[in-house]
Amino acid sequence: MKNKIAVFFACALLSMFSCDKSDNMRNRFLGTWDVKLFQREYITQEGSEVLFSKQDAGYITFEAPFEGEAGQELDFSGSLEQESGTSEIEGSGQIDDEASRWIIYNGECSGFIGCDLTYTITKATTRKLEMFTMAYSGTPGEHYKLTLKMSK
Amino acid sequence: MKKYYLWIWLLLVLPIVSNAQISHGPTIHVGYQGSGIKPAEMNEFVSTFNQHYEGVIPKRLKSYSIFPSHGFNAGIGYRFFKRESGGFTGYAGYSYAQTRNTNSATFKNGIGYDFGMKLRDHFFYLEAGAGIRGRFFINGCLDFLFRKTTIRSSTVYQDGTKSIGSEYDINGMYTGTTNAFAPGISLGGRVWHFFIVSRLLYTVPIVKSSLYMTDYSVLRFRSHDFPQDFEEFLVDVTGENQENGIKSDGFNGLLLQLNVEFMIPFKKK
Repeated sequence: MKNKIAVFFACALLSMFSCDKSDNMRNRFLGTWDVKLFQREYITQEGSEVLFSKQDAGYITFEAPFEGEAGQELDFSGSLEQESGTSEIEGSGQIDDEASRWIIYNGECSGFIGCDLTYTITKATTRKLEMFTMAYSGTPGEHYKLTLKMSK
Repeated sequence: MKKYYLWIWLLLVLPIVSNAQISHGPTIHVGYQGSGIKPAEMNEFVSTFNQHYEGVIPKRLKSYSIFPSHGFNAGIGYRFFKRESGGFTGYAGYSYAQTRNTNSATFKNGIGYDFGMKLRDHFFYLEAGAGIRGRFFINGCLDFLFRKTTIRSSTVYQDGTKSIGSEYDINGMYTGTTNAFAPGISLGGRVWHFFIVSRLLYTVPIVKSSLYMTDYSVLRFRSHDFPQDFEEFLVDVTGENQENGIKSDGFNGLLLQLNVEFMIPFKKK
């Protein structure tokens, strides 16, 4: 009986302390992903309009800055077909503490502060990644939405 | 405080050592939890937010009550309870709880804001008291709590998209933690191997701190703290005012649990 009780409590303690959400999420990102959909929409009060949509738009590879290192930092590189043509992409960023955002350092400009580009993660499984980012259009109440869907 | 814990542990262990006739065993439980906060700071945010958008905000943010956040808890423990008569009862255990609240506002142009509050608790129970006729018990609680609070501040667009991106400075995942004592009272009753257990606790931070709810993941010009005064936050574009934040200590207060507990019937040798 004592053994059963010990196992019962040991399993409970292990499950309590065994996971770090953002680290697990970072590991889930690692590897090469096919970009299944890259889409830009314009969202207004009247509805949304697709401005650009490309299926099988390229690939993105995520890797840890230093192999085997734990943490949230994530480098990326790849090739992406955009409105202006196919371009090589690369950069670095991180997955936030709550595993809900992919933050690309200097994704919008090249200053120290206020230049990060943030993607909101909507789906992250071992086989599928879905995320989007929003941008103000310059007209009040109207925005651009950039959606990225990837799979392995 | 460590001394008190030692005495209470001794009280719990003594009946086993003295070979008293006690029914005891490991338990698992699930139940409802209502988590209270001190809502003054959050309500200042609500009133300054509504005030700033006066006239263009048909759906305003609601004020927070002292019990804004509800959810579930589950855990394990070890209960001492005499089934034959009254006398000493006790309980030691662990529970994980997650409670939530969402407060949202919508503007005339269809865009809105969602402020989702999530309280994640790791509870450590330490309770002792008296049994009544082998059916009921009343325990005093000296529980302990690690709480991680998150405010998910997102912009909701006309097509329903909820973004926590950096297009607006208020968007973000603001987090804070508190470690607290949770003294209180626990009442319950037994039916077969099941116990119905209710707890009324008051969580008190062990160390008073002025730590704010922060989001350091994105580097921004404005403050990284979730603002107490929204209008001040908008005006302070360089984030000079470091004291306009919601403190993580404020996410403590009354706490109510109603659990169903099952005592695992291991056979005695």
